Amino acid sequence: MRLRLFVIGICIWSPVSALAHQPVMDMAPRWQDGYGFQIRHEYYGSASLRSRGDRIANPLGRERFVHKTWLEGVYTFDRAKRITFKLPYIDQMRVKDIGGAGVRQDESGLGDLIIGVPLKRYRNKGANTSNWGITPSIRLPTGKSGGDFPISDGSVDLGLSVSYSAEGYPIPGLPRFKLYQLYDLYYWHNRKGARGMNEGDEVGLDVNIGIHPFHDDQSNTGVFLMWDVSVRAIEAPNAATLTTASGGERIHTGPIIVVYKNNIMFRAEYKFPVYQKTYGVSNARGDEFSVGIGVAF
Amino acid sequence: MKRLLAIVIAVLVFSPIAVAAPDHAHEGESAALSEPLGEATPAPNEAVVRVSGVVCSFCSQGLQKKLSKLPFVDRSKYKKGIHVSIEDQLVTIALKPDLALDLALVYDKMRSGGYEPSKAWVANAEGDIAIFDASGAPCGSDCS
Repeated sequence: MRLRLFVIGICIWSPVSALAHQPVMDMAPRWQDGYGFQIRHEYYGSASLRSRGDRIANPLGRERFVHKTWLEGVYTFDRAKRITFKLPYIDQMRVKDIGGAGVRQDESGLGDLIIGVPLKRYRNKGANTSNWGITPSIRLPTGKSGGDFPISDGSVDLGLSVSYSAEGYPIPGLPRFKLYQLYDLYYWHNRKGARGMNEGDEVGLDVNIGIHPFHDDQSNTGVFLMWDVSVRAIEAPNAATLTTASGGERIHTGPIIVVYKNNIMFRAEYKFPVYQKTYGVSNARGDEFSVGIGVAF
Repeated sequence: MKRLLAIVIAVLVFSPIAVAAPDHAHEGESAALSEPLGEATPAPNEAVVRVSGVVCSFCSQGLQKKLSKLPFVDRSKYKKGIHVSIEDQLVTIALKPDLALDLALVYDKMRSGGYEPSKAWVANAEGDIAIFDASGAPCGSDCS
């Protein structure tokens, strides 16, 4: 019921929250032969144990915490055709129930490389710009899949996302009120990998809606304030899977701040769970933090 | 899983309807180089080009990058000869007085920068202003 109300709330809120902006890997660089890089660190984890939608007792102290530092890059052939890469360095720990005892496991190393080909169709009209995008992606098993707590399941996975973003002035009476929005619906088909591991397919929706309250033309400096809603549904991994994958449904939401100066952009996000349902007994995802800095040339 | 997938798709389907952008041009306060209702008044040896969709300065850097390399741009003014006003969707180009402006080349660079020019005002050394349409053809003050 809470999930239903929340999604209905998003639908109601969207009509008055038109037009958006995106970070370095999406709207910029939109110029021919442009390129950019971004380093982003994300952190999530929890010592809360859940069974389906309920929090349950955790006598063994089961927990899971993950740090991921992403190196991301983009090259723009022209504004309609780009290629991107994302490569994470992962540092993860968990306490797992093994034979009735809580056993701590740690692992770190490079994760799986994701290559995407965003294809976009832009529409520029007056004081508004918007684009539809479709992005086929492939995830290559560059992370190690050995050991008791592998970084990768060793599979080649295929993804597809459909996105819409826009930015501009939707309300004639409020010429300084510039709005920004992004919708991205994606699907990952996770195939069976090393040692029979299969993390399960994933579908997700990201919604960013915000305003652009400050910009200075002279110094080319400005700020975006946004709100993020992330919806995820992930199939339960099979019994052979030893990675951090855990199936379930969840909705996280929280604020985003973006600060830019010339060709450099800084972005910070905090998201908290408003709905979590695990398939079986698993640690909750917990709060999510993300900070990143990107540059476009 | 199926229920959540259905909800996600429903959100995506409904949201773009809600966010369809009106096609009005921004008619906000005039910048230093422009007047209300979209008319620009460039200073001598300057060109001002209205560029649709320039509302994000981080995204519009391609314009400055492409335009500042043109030989007739006076890079001693503004930022390498270019000023982008995202409030008015106007791009001001400082021109060298001894070199002729190639407006077709300016338009071409703007398109490769990811945007569409829609109108240009060009002032010569005496301050006389000529107006050009989206194709680069001369037109009167009432041209679209």
